[in-house]
Amino acid sequence: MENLINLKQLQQNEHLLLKHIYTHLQLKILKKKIQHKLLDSNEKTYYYKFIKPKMKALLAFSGTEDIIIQNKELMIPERIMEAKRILQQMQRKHKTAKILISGSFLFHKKFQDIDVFIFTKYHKEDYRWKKIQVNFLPESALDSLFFSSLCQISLSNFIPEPRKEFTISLKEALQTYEMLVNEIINKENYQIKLREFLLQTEYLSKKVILNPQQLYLLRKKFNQNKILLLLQKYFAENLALNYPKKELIPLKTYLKDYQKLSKEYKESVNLNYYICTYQEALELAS
Amino acid sequence: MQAEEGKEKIKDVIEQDLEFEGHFNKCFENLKETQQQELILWIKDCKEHKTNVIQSKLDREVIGFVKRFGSNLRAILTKRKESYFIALFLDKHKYYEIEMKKFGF
Repeated sequence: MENLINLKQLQQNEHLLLKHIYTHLQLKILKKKIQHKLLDSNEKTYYYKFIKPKMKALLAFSGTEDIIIQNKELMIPERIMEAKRILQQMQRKHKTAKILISGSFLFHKKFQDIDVFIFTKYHKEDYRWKKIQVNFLPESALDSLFFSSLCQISLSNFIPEPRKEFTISLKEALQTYEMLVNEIINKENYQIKLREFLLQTEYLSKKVILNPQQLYLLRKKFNQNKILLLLQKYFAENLALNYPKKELIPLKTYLKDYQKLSKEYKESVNLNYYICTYQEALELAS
Repeated sequence: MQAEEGKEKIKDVIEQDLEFEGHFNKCFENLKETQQQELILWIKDCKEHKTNVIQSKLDREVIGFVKRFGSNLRAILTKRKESYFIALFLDKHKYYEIEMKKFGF
């Protein structure tokens, strides 16, 4: 519940809250709790016995539920119920953490696995329990492009405040592309990397942050035999169109490096794809 | 095979000393015997230029080789171009992603 209100809201409505709902002491304790400060045993009793129930009633009255659902209309109704149950279970286990459920499970019948994301200050090992995959992410992940996409179709115990502006450097874009090509060639499960790549590239070209469903549909278009050629064309065009000519100059350096490396590492097939893609991008740009 | 024995075998293959990073010992000892052999063979392939190579975006003189073991383990072998091997990293996928970013791969 503490994740659903913030200090700014409390400060803005302090006058009303003091006049009708809380005493000075209660408000002081609530502020402490929201700022994640430690409460002593008296304060804890006050908080759980008097302050929290009142806040819960206020939130319920204003239509704010304990669980925030984003883009409910895109979800399968039965899956919402199941996700709610899991979120409540997770909340009991990880009491103060920000928890979010997202992924294809919410909007596609075919998918049974449920992705739970727990944002925490402390490092913890991910784990799997039956069909639930629990991923622990640092709180800094709340500022990522990944989160801005993920939270668009989600259930959470906090109000997501996704960032809208991102800068994707040429180096970053190339790194993601190169790793994706490498994973495909090595016959690994490349779906996560493909998602990251498409999310970045679509943002780069259209300044749009795709939601998980849009991303799923776009991924489907690429999942075919000629995926490497499709990616090559798609990425070359996007490089040429989205970076000014001046910023593409490092591509020439990488091209030379890769041509030299490919003479030494003749069996490294990935280098040929990088070379072709960057050559095509430079040709298109000029 | 124990981690220390594995480390010695790897050093013999590349004929030089090497840093071992990530939770190498724990991960290596958790590999099946066949996977341990696969790791050593892969390192031999890297040395003989028989695998895919990637180049760092942070330092163009650094190259790397990556390999997946099982569903969650990843190895990264780093090397200075036309020179010595730097380190062998072996850990879970989550830490691998962090390491890859650190090296600029």
